[in-house]
This record gives sequence, structure tokens and C-alpha cells, in this order.
Amino acid sequence: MMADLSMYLLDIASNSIRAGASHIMIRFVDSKKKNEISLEIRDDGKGMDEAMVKKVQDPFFTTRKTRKIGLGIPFFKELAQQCEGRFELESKVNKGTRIKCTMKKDHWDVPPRGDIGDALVLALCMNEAVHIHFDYISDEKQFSFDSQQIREILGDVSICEAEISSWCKAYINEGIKEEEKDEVISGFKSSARSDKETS
Amino acid sequence: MQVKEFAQKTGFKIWASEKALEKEISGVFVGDLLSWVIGNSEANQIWITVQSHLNSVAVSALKEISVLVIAQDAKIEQEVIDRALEEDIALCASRLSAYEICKKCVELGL
Repeated sequence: MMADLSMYLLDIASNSIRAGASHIMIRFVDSKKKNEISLEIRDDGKGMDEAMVKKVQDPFFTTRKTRKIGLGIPFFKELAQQCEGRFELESKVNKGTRIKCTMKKDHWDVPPRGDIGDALVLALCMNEAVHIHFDYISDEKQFSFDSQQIREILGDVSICEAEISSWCKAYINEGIKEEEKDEVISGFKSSARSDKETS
Repeated sequence: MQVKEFAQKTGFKIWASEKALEKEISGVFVGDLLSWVIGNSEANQIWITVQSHLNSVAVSALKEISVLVIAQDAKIEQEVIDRALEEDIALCASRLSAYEICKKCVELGL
């Protein structure tokens, strides 16, 4: 488990970049009505065959040889299991990969969002040629961020220039911010609590 | 202290290969956030957690943890036990809380 959702996002998006993707589509859904939070990353990278799809879910697969890397997917999967959600991983060689983690929103173990804007900008700056499209959908609002659109406006200026990147981060974080109408204490995750006690 | 001695003195249930029993213990780390453990634990420590997922064994292998102690009777799947044995990581289970286990470690001079 990682400290927040932005870390999972960055980890999975960097897998896509390492897989040579030129387009990465990220979809972050946070719905109280459906009691669901999900994070989905789709890319058009080199993809994996069936055997590889199994292997990358095994936490021992990469740790032995290369150390330090390779735990992102097993952690992402564990997150889904722990938060009573589901994990999906589909891949086709030379086509790309789709990975999705869905969590029960009111589950106690759902991590905080973290700095999503920062994670997206960090991913963008790993390889500036990669096109990243981000969609955020909640019951209240929808927000999109598209690196291609930003680049068209910027022309020759790099998106990773300090001023531009900090603007992007702030723009994204503002775009996905929800009004704090949540009943923070009253009835706080009570259903998740009782679920746990009975299980 | 060796893993063998730790297991004898605490009386915790243990699954360990011969090689795992011989390992030295240098200290104790407590935490349930795996990425945090990766960032902050040190080799040869005992790691106390309630996370009994297979990923905990992988993190233990990565960080060269001597003993993975699962606190408060958190459920341990057979797959986790098998993998710990295979990786020469000693795996312990206790009904005590992480805090109570820490107290035992202090008593043992760890």
C-alpha cells in the first residue's frame, strides 16, 4: 500500500511511459452516489502477452532481478482487494494496456487522493512527447486536462518549465476539487465500519 | 539475537526455513503502509504489521527483513506461508497487538 492515490497514479503512468506509449488516457472517477472511486489508466504502449500479464501481478517477479521496481501493480491490486473493490488488467501485444482499480468509496482503507496534479505533471515531464489525457468525473462535476491542448497553446515553450508546470498542477488540483459539503464526522464511514465488524 | 531465539522466547507461531532461523535480528520496525516500510525499514529488522498480503513477503524480501510478524491474528493465506518459506523469510503470527509485540521486543533487549 502506498500513502495516497497520486503515488499509484504516477507509478502506473510511468509503466506506460516505459512501455513506449505515445498516448495515455487516465480516468479518475469519484462518486458518492455509486459509492465508488476508480482510477483507470489506458495506454498504447507495447503491451504484454498473457503470461506477462500474470507475471506483473506477482510481487516477486521484478523485485528479485531489478529490485525497487515492479511493486506498483501488485500494490494497486492489493488496494482494490483491501477496499472491497476490483482490479482489472488487460493487455494486448503491440496494442497497449488497460489497468483499473475500483474501490468502495466509504471503505476505511481508501487512501487520500494526494497531489494528483503533481503526479500528472511529473508523468508528463518524464517524456514530453507523450500525450496524456486526464478525465475526472464525480457526481458534481467533470474536468479534463489534455497535455496536447496545453502544448498547442505553449508552442515551443516546455510544459516542464517551472512556471508552466506549477500552473498545470494548480489548474488540475483546482479542477478536481470538491466542495467540502461532506459530513466529515457525522455518519462518517459508518457503513464500512459495520461491514468490517461483521466480517 | 537470532531468529530462532526470538521465536523461542516469544512463543509466537513461526514458519521458517532452516536458513531463516539462523538470521540475525538488528532491530524492530512497525508499519502497515508498504511503501513506507520500503522507504524506512532496514535490513535484518523484525517487521510488525497487520498486512498479511503476499506483498508483505515481497517487501520483506526486498528489504531483507529477518522476521515478518503478523499481529492481532490477521488472517494468513497458505500462499503467503509458502512464499515466506521459499524466500527464507521467517514468518510469525501472534494474537497480540503491534504495541504488545513491541513491548515483548523491548523486554528481549531489541
